[in-house]
Amino acid sequence: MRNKYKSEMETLTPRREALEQLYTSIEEETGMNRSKRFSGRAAAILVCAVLMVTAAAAAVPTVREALLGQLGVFAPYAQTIEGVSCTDQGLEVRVLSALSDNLNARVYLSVQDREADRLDQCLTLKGRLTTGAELAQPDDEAPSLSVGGVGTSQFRLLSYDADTKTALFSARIYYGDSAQPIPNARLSILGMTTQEGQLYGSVSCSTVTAQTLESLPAEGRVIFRPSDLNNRAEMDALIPSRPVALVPEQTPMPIAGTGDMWISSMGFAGDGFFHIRLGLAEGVEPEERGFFSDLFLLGATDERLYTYQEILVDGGMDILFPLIHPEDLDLVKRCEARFYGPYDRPGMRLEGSWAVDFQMDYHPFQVLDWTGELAGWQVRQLTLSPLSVTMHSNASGGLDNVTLYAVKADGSTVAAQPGTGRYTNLEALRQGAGWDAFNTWEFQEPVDPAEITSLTVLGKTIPVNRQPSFAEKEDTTA
Amino acid sequence: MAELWNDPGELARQYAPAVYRLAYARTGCRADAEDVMQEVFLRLIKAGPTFAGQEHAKAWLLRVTSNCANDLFRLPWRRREEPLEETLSAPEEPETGSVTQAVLSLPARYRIPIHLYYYEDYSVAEIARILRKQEGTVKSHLFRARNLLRERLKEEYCEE
Repeated sequence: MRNKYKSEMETLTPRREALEQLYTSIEEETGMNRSKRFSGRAAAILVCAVLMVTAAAAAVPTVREALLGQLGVFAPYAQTIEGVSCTDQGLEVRVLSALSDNLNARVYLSVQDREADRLDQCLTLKGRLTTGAELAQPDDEAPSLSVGGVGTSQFRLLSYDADTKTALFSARIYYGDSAQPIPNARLSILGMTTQEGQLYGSVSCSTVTAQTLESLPAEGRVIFRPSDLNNRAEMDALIPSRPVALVPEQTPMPIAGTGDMWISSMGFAGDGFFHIRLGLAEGVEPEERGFFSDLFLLGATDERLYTYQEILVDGGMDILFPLIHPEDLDLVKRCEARFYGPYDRPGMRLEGSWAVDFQMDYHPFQVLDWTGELAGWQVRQLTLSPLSVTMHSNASGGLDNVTLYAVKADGSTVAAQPGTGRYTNLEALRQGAGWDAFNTWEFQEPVDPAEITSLTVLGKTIPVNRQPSFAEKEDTTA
Repeated sequence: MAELWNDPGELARQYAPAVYRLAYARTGCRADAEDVMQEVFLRLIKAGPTFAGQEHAKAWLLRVTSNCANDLFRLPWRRREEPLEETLSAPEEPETGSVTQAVLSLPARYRIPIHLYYYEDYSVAEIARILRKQEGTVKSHLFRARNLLRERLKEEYCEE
């Protein structure tokens, strides 16, 4: 029955228009269009002059150190990009580095406030990085699975240095097998803000005691009810009609990584329930129904831990767990209190135009001279680059959760973890029979393909026809 | 280095079909399944959770899908469309196949666990974690659902 059900289900796919609408929505919500709050000026993109500067005047030293820390063992394989920067309203955007092959392009950039002190550790960029070319789809009716073309609007803040007022970001483009790398790249930023906080914090509950903490009537706006999470309206009835909140600052404790929120009080209140009171810095407000708090215990599915109400009170937020009583103390002490989600915070919101064009270098990949059977599937093509391995086969599953190893001539191995790929049911798409799969693996440390003698995956050894190393090529040329 | 599981676009590219299929298994309606798919990823962007890995992200998406699909039947305008007796709810497209038909004819509360078990290959413990239910509850739902399927499929496929 399982196989029959699976094969029937595989024929069900969202309509292409629905997928396109989804991808567009995501682009709009996460990318430049999300910043409609930045007003219509965004329409007038003025490309800043790219300032060609000397290497000595490039990235500030602390950012360069942070970048090297992020790149880790990949640093020697990263492309250094110099002289690509743009300044608007005293804020400089600079492209620093890229690490790219046929599977991914990862770009690192900095933002520095050269005139004031408007940035902080919550800086968010609104814009887009684009490079690469879409590959033609064999069948136009096939669902388009590329997201927003060959670009990304996701900029990840890696670090912020308050001394130099400089933030380091990364952005990543995934080519998969639906796009191919091209050298030309463009970074276009339309806005920046520090008003959109995002927290993923946790604290240990091991310090909680059975002592009843002081409480007071909770008067404020409820922003999260138990039913918001589990859709069971009856759970809301667990909340007392006249809830209380903990008095602030009874058991203060910081939450690592943020100064916007902290544990103000945590323990059992006068109502006999477990409470956590978060202190909120002035102007900080967690998003209604979008900011989650729960108690986490690995492997536990106990609904007592995630049934809660959040209520905004003066200077903070009280979280009431209506299913946790003092007799549950041992359970609580083993948990971590987690707080995660978006929140509004004071800060700057700025629209502008920062756009630069630059050239990307890609590590070459090698198509292995091997096709054959792997775990019962027929492998059509394997590629190897210093950063990744890709595989085309007729697999219908089972390859996306296995580690691949590259074996060097000296017998040592480098592990590669599975990355994003796809399994396509050709029959369901009326493109033929069977399946078409694209699997990828990314190395935990870079490899020199010239040193790799084989790949092993699922117990299968796949020979790698040794390519001359760069040094050997130069020798041959000489 | 790779944290594709924290990129909504990448997650949509990878898991939109899985979300759609789970939603279809619950709603039995392609249009509703597409609505749920849109809603799930909007909630992803709104909530902005940080995932520990690919499986964590997938589990989160499937749980939210379950919630969103159930929400459809809690909306006032929608409630009227849900048959009073859940077992009578029927798919819009019964031609999709006998097993799918049989699954869609199950009481609503059984469909999601059955789909996660048979299609996504999750264990009872994993389903319990995803749906935030007790393992015993999931086991009980699966047991009853399989008995019903056995009857409806006339023992054609029931031995798995």
